[in-house]
Amino acid sequence: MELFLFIVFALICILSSLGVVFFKSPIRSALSLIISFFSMGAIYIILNAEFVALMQVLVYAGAIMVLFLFIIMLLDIKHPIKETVLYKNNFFLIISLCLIFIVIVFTVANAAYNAKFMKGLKGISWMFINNSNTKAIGEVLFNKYLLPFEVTSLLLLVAAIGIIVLGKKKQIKD
Amino acid sequence: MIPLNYYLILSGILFTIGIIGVLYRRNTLIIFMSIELMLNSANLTFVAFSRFLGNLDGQIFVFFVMVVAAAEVVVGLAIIVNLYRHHKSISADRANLLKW
Repeated sequence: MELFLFIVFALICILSSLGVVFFKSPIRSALSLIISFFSMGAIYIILNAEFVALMQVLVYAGAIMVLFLFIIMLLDIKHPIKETVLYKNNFFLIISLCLIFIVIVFTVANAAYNAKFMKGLKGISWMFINNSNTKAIGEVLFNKYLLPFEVTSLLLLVAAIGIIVLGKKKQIKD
Repeated sequence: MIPLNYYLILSGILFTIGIIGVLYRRNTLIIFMSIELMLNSANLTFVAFSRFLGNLDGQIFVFFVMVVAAAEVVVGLAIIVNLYRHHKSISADRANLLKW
């Protein structure tokens, strides 16, 4: 049953990700990317990572993709963008896709195979405090990773100032 | 229990699709979405390894990656809007100011 659910959501994820790359119009790409993010959230649930799954749906599918859709709506592109010659040639596309995939999977799966932890799998009790995954993550985040967590706020501040600078109108010098 | 390799293969497939999107499309918005896809496949690897190592640190890292992705999306979209203001197009071929 678990494997069946995993395969279903993995297939949805792969197909909608292919849609992101191969749809012509950006709005269709954005919508299929939302489907991809949702099914990835389901895969996180299968991995017992509830907090990450919720963050995936709230932050990625909720906030980031809404921002994308807003920009697509506001830009209102009339002329279709000229694609490269390679994009029309399916042969090179498939060959390069296979090559990159083989390289990635061989390196990562080989590393995983050589690692010791592949065999003995622990239960899931370490993931939960009082039946709550969020509480367990908060415990680690605010003890071990307190400084990186605070530095994150600086990053967000820099991003906020950056978009104000980028977004404002050019001032006319006199 | 699903083996770890299944998650890694799924993550590899998604990363490959993201690379193909970055390499083959000329629409900057779609290039940007492909980058998001690649970040997501890295997140999947983090969570899968965290599950199999019995250690919560991987999920914390996913949290940080999400923060960085949100900041990156905001700045990147502002750059795309500026690109559109300059060239009246968001094709990556038009952004050749720094090429020589």
